[in-house]
Amino acid sequence: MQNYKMHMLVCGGTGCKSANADQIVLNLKRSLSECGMADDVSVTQTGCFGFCEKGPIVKILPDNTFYTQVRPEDANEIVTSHILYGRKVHRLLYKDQTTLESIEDSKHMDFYKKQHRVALRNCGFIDPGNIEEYIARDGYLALTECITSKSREEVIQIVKDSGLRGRGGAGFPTGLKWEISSRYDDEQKYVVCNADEGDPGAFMDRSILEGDPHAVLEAMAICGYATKASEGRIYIRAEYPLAIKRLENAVKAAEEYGFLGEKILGTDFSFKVSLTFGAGAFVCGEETALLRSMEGGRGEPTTKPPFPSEHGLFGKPTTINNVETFANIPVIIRQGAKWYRSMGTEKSAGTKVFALAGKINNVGLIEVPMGTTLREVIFDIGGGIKDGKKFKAVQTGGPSGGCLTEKDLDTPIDFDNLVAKGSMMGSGGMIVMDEDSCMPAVAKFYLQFTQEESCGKCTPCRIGTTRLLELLELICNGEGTMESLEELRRLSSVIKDTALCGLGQTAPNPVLSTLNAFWDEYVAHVVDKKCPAGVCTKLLDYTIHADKCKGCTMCFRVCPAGAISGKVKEVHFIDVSKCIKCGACMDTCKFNAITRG
Amino acid sequence: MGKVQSKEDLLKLRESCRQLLHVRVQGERIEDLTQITVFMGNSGYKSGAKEIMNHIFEKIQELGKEDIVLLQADSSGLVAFEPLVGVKRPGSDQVLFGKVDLKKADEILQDYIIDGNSIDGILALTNS
Amino acid sequence: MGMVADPKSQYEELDKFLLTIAGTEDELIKVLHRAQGIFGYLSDDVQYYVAEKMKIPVSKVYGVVTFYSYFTTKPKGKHRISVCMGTACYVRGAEPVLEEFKKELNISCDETTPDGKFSLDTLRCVGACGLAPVVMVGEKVYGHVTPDMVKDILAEYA
Repeated sequence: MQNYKMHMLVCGGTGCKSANADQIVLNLKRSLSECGMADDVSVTQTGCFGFCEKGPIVKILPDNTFYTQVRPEDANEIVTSHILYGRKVHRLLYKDQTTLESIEDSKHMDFYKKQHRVALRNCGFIDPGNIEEYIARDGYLALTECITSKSREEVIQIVKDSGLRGRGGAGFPTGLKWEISSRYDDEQKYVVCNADEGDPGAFMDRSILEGDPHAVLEAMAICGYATKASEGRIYIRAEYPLAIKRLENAVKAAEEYGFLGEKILGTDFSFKVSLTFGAGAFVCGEETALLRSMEGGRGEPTTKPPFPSEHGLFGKPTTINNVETFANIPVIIRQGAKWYRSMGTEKSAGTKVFALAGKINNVGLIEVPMGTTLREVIFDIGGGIKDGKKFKAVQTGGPSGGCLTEKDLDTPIDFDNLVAKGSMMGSGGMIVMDEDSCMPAVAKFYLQFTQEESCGKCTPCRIGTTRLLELLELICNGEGTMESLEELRRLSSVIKDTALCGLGQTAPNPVLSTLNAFWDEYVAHVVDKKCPAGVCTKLLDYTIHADKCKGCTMCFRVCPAGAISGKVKEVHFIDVSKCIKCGACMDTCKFNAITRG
Repeated sequence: MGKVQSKEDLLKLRESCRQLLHVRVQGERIEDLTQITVFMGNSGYKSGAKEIMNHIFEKIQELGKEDIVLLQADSSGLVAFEPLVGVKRPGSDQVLFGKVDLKKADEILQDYIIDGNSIDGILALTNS
Repeated sequence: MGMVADPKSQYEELDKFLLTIAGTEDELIKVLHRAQGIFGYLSDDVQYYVAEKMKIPVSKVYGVVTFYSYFTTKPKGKHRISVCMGTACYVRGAEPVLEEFKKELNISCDETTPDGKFSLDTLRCVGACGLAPVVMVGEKVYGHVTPDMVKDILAEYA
């Protein structure tokens, strides 16, 4: 085996790949060859480092230099300067946004200091396409120990004792789920991995699948052993082609090395894994809808009970867990339940991966112990609000969640605390909003999503979300009234009570949470007919500025409502009572004399 | 029939695979390791520091010393003393050796670091 | 995507694929993905064909095709433009970008330009939120897109 003096790791997550990470790898290899150092220095593409805002990332080891925003053209300089002469390329180093000092080692960066990467332990460290690198990090050791020296009951007990709760959003105790599944006797049982990550703005599962696919496979096999299932299926959304490829390769490699297949490691335990693709339906993240989709049908949820543990895929007992939940299993088995419990809070043990996005400086993927506060995540790790704007709200839990505001910032993040504040942790998407976000418009945005994704099976959701959306559209168009707000509340609570599945039951959450936290903003929309954030175009007034208007009459000519008056070479004027807010005048004006606000 | 047939097979395989990640693992725990830094830059390179560095690396591999990590840095500016090598034990300050040749490199590695003896050639200046 | 003009060989390619799988009902979505990859869209003829080959009622095939947003029953343009409307992209200004595309191409969402060159769609989050707002044209990803960039992006495909 070749002994490399230095390793160069290039981030190979979807975000960095879109920014030419592949070309960076090629250029680095070429430069190394040209300098005669191809045998001394390796170049490896890893999974996501998490610091997406500053990607593409290139990390040099063992000196731990963390290069950011690297372009393919920079590769040669990195090689000839840093690798050949030990001279770091200073312009590519991360600069702390407050002190403006360069920080070479990522462990000193605010973005990473408070993180604790457990589910993401191998992302950004190993080559996800090389099973031997996974093995070097104790890969498949947990599975081996389980099937050769632990009973099924022992395995389940470890997971129960660890306090691990489902990371897909519901937070159901994983050990308990496995125990329930293990009680049902059937010749054919299944383990299903929910890799449908449908929440827009969430990319935790994608990163794990792309960066450490073997962790998921190993965990599924352990689950199969514990629950006496012989087949595992991964339901993965079609929008993740890279993750699909990495998983397919990982399955092949695992089979080749004997960790999947018949009579694994000489025991009686056999387990195989295959992939099923989604086709763009958010509702298929709901477990019963997912199972119906796996069976080749429309993803329409079915009532629970019976739960999938009893009656799941093809009617057989099925254990379904989320990607991140699975990713924690091998390390819990190896290091023990007590170790896992030592992190997090009493009711929410361990860590959680969050996808931090929106109007924040450090957009990326983070993992923190449960109990870390929202303030620490947004301001310490996230670097605060972009462009120095004011924090307004953070949306957690995707379209099923709610908005948390300034007063909630010191809430320690865990399953129960966020629910108590009117939101939920969900799968981990965290969207930060600033003063330029209009909260009724945000609620409308979420309803546009859920209404479209509603499977249509039950009336409360199919018609209810449509009506909610219509009301929000009226409000944002200046046609709403105080009665509209009451109707929103009333209808939301009816839908929550009567919808068949989680999609419908939680669809009103963004509405209710924004109504509660931003009541004044809604009132401004319906009473004053104003949008304080300046977003809802129909509530904004168009003004012609006298100092810029040249009297060219272009706006007068395009106005479909005849709301503009003025003579040639004289300042024109908009009559707001006639203006229909179409914006044609502003688009036409060549002198930037018309503004909207 | 997979490549790995038993727990023993896996443990053996893990041992050999660890070499793949050795340098990365060293980076992760760098504060706990003895750091040998070879100062390069154009001047260090001209003085033959690359050969010294390669030699030290091979020796570390031969001796199987996993708790010693080899690093490279830019020229410190002390051109007259190049090839310049720094040694930093965990928790201690860095100590500099000047005009290091292959023989001196062996002495630094074996006598000074591994055996813990004091040797001459330490520069009075500290690198700041 | 293989835009083979000859329907006969397209059906042959689909047949070849069907031979590699069990062809059971639960594989319907997998087959439809492949069929769409070969034909570009799932016309009535293709749906009937799949139904017959897999021995599934065509009403079921139709029900599945119309349920999932990935499947399309209309031909798409040569260059498929998808504007991500995930929350992270929305918050960073995806709507104005979408409006600009609509304006420049003079079509609405889920429509194709009369010359068949461009079709416009919205996407549900590719998970590249660090590059928000994201626009995909075919498989190419554009990041940090603003309305001013739209004309230049379209010009690349002139």
